[in-house]
Amino acid sequence: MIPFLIGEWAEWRERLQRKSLATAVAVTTLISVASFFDPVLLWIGLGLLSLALGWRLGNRYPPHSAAREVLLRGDLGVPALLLGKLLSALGIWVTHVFFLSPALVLALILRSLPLPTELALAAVCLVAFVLALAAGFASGLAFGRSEGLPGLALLILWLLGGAFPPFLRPLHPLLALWEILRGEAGLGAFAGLAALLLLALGLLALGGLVLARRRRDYAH
Amino acid sequence: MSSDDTMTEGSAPESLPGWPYLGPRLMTGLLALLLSLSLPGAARAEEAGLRASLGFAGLAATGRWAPLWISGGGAPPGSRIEVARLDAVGAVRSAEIFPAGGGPTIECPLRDEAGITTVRLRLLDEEGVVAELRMPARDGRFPGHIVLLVQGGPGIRRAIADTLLPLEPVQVAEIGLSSLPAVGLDYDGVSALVLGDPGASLSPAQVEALLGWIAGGGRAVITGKRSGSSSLFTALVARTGEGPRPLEGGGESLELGLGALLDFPSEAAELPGASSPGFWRRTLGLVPYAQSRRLGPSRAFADPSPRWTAPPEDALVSQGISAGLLLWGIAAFAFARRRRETVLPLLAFSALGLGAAVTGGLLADRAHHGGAVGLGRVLLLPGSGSALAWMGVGAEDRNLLGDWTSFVAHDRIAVSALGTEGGSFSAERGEGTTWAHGPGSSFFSTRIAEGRRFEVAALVPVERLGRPELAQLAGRAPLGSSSNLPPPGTASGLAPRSGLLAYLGPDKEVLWWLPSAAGAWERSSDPPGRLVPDRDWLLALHRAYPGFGFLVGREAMPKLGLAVHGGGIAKLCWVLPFPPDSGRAGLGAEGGP
Repeated sequence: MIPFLIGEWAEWRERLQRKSLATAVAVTTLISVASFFDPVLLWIGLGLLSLALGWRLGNRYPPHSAAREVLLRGDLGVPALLLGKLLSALGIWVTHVFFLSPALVLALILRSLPLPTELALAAVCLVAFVLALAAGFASGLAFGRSEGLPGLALLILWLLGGAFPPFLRPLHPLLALWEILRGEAGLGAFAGLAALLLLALGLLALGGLVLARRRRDYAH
Repeated sequence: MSSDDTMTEGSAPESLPGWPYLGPRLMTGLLALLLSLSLPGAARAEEAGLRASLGFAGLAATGRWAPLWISGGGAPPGSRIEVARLDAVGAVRSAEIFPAGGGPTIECPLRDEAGITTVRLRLLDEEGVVAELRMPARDGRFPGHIVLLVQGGPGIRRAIADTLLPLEPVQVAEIGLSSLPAVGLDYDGVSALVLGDPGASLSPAQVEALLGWIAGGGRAVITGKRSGSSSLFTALVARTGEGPRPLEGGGESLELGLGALLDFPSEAAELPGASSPGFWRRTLGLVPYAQSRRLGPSRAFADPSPRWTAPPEDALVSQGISAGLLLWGIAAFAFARRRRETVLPLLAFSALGLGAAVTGGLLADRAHHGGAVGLGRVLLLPGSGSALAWMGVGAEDRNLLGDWTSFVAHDRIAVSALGTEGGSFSAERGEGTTWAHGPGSSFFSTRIAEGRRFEVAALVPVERLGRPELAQLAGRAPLGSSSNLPPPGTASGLAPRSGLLAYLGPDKEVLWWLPSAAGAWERSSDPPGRLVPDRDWLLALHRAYPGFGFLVGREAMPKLGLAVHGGGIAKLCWVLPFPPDSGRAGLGAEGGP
């Protein structure tokens, strides 16, 4: 698993680091300066960044690429591969957050949100990241990278349409952020977060199933 | 409390919304249920000695502040009394908590505000609610002049009540001496006062409140003057340092700010013309209520929706932080775009940025107030050394949440005004703001503010503002007139000062005069930039007091501060009013007797 994890990290540094860090810092700085650390804009912005980064890291195994070959051909079992994928992606997310930490810490000090609220918001962003990562992984393997767009369309449709039915709202990361900021979520915030995490892990498991199916097809 | 004052005990049944649509039997049943539910609370309130009365002998002016007298009986030390304002659906719009047991009676100014129907009183101890009492908030409200009569008689009462007939009636409230307010806000709905000379019976707080009210345009008549220094009039003359003037037919008058204090040697019933409404109209200087121009807190701070914009000083801090962050963003962007990268430089760059952010954030934190805007306004009452003050805390207008409570930790909001009092306030979800008064005497009282913003108002001694120059300006400068533009650097006491920003003229058209470096005044159609957060309030003052001119400044008042998020409101806007030539706030338009 360790070689796979290092390989994932190296590939991110080689291909994606400059673009994703630059985009993240540009978006965060613009939001911070334009809104002067309005907590709503800043946290929704961070949530969107997490979703975009997760999707980008999950859905990066186009057909006939070396990375896809490693996934399909390697000896590493599917659970270990999923764990390695998850850990490397979390490391990349933490790198981004650390890189953006000056703006985030300024917002934390100046806005003075209570620490439990800050932690709940960060947890929602993290789970949103894992969710998008799993969705991108499953979609990319199922449809191939170029055909992965239906998965992206589904994700966007869910973000737009999932806001309206009340029973789906706890599973909407951006709405979860909004409700925590409004202080109206209460204990429901934790239940929503747990449900969101379950959904993310479910999608990751789905990605594992698709990977297993692709491996069988590849072997034949 | 006067024995005349009506005290309320127990809960009163409230009217139910939509009652006409319910059948009479159902209504009767519901009322019976309500009454039966309220009985235990009423019984407990009686047992605990929790009693209250609103206004002066049950009378209070519509839309004005009035005293709510609360007696906690034998409340044990450490217990508290909560006064909550409830709307029609029973939601708490704002609440104040007083320490109980500090004295026999608590005086809580209560403003008649739209939407507030009920006042709920609770005696609280460590374990919770000991007793509860509910009373209607708007009963006894009168939309006209209310005159207080202390030691009068039925004949005088009738004569004063007929003063403005047939135009409008005047209500007379006969009260005891102890029912004279000790909190200046409570005089808001009082148009005039007639009292027999009580000598030195008034407490210092009562004297302070009385002088502030007179300076704002109130008129007090003292009858049956005592001899020598035991007279209240003599004591007030000595207190203000002003010289009294003799009145035709005996007696003396002391003009103070926009109002006056009259003193007669005879008892009220023995005054020539005491039974004549015309005598009292001239003596009390009453004009039709709509024409009254008394400077009171309700009218002076009637601005319904202040502009919640960061004051210029705070905006400067915000701009500095934004500029610093933008520079960091550009550097970070350039760093991220480098062709080759290693982990260590990335970590080092992030750590450096983090260190700078923590240092800068902590330095700027005190001025930033956690994103909340703190506003402070002071209307100086000339000649008295008193001032009407208003302070508010709220989210900036541009804040998307529209609500500061979710991003400012409650325990970091503290009122530390005037040194002797203090308190903190919080706003829990689903409830209005709650202000806990400190153990000292309290000038400030809360107002209902929209969007869970927090507002307090008070009548305070100018000496307590921490600006001796302002105390001199308001307390000693002769009262000017709005037709004479006060030139800076003259003997009027209006020396050019750094805090002086503008003069808002008395004309119908809004005209600003700005002091120039040469000591002259320059006409302008706009206020200076530093007055932008207070512009709407100043315009509301201009509309509410036609013919008045207003000298406006802005400066720090060290003792009058609303500490928010560890930092105080940097500067407050002060205003010195100049009445029209025609008279003092309209009340004394007809002069003395």
